[in-house]
Amino acid sequence: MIIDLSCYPTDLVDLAWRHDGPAFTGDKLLKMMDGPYYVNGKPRRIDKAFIQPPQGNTIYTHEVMDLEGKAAIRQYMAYTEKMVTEHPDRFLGCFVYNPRYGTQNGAEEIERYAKEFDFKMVQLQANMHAYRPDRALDWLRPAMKKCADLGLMVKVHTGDGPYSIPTEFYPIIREFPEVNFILAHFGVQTGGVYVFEPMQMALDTPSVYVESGWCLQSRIVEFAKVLPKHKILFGSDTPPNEPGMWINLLEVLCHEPPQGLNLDEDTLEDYLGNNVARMIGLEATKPPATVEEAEAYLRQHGVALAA
Amino acid sequence: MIIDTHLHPTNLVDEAWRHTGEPFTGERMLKLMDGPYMINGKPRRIDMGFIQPPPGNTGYRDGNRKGRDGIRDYMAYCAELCQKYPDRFIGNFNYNPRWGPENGAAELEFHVKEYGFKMLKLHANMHGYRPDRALDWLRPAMKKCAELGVVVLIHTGDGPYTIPTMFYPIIREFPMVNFIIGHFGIQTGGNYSFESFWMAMDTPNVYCESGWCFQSRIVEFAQQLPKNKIVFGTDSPPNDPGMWLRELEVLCKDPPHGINLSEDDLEGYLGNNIAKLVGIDPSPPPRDLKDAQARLTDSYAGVDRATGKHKEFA
Repeated sequence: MIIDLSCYPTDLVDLAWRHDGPAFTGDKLLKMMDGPYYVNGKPRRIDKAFIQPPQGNTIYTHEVMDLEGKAAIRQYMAYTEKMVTEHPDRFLGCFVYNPRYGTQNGAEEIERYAKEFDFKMVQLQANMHAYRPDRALDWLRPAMKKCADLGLMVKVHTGDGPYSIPTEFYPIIREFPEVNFILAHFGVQTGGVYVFEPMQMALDTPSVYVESGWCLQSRIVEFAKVLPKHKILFGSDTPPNEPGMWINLLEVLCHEPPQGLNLDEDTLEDYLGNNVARMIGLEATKPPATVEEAEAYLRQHGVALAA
Repeated sequence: MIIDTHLHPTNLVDEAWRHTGEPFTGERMLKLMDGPYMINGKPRRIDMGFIQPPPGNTGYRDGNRKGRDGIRDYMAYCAELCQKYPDRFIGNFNYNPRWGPENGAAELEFHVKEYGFKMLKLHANMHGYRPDRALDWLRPAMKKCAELGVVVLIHTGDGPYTIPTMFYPIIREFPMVNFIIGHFGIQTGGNYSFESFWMAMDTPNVYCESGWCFQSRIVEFAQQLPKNKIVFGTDSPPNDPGMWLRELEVLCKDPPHGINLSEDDLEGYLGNNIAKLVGIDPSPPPRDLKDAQARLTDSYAGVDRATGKHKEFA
């Protein structure tokens, strides 16, 4: 079972990042998820992905995103909702919580998306939504209470100053020990490299997990050796990241030191998807034992394989 | 032609980084380079690699010899590998001015003339100097690089001494020397990828090494940089080449992940760009699986070395 924690299909190119090319739609993402990607010599697809709107499209923008309150939230979540409804077997919803549209509004919308569309995760993006997570606790509490009530995971954007430095989230993490927090892209972004913070936070705090994407390759081999096996979760941050490179980052852990740590295939499968599957109540699955088994699985799901 | 600009085979685990496992010897490196790695559907090997000692083994430690003897000792294993595998390994001289700037310059010349070294490495953090101020420590070696046509690879990405723009004074003083910004200004200690990008955009003799660069940024940088400005380097070990080959291969895809890069331009990034900088014959990407298979054991199979093209088209 391979599950990607961070994907951003959209019908509107991210207004902040302005990636090249036409909008990376849900159909394009599905094609990309199908790969196939070769993992330890076996062709694989990404079975499921958590999807959310691009962050740059979740804030007020004159004449583009100019509704208010819950209507604004529903506007920026609309495409994600549509994709989850159309492809419930491949996409899992992740709700982007922007407290600037009203903290109670956000909390109520979290509940609606969880109950009506089976969303399993909430994303915090304190830089894009401009708040200090260690001080704006009143902005975070309503949503976090809802996550605790509904058993939702919280994914935290980390890696950039001023508001997305991993340890800035410790106050809210400690206040809600019953909520599982995932430190997205291992504390690394274009604005900074905070890899040691997520590593120590995940090591010290039972409710903290780390997402693999963006992690520096030379460091993840060291961190994986020390972290409990259930603490690393695969996420690619696609687009413009591309899943193949980040699957390879984890696959290499099966090699010998110093590049790898002789990781077994079962644990790799945990990293790639089974860990998060267990966290959201999905049944974990074994990695394919042979190339034939892997190919048969893909054919069964309509993935074309080269002759 | 695939050439990795940044490899650290060793018979002694890096005393600074202390990577896990046994020393990653030259023979293990060759096995890693052989792959094969699938690139645009074709199996490839890394044809050649620039090798240098792990930086953590290039500083003085109690018991070392000093001066030129000490330099020769820390370079010995790389020199041995370059002689043993001259078709696969190219020497990169690690220049530590603390063993004496003139000693370093003389040893650079020795390694170039005796063992065919083609590159010099600066690591200002490991060797403890400010590259923008310690110009007197750098000049003897840079003069020698200018004289011998040696390319300079700069460790960048960590404060306090390896922030890319700290090297502008020496880069500007030696416009005839080509400088490669190691790992695109990114290390565990920081991210200076935009600095590296702009330095390569603005300065004719500055190039960027692809490894460590953030995937979401390299697609943007590659779109704007002249095609000769990116060179492939992995910083293995403990990095592994497959992931960093993939990062460049993806540039051949549609936006937003790629820029529809041509296979010829990809081959430029993967090795032909650096080949041209140091006087190695470039080679075109394999046309098909058969071509690719032949290249797994012979880097120039089916290639006219005089023209750098496939033989039948030469």
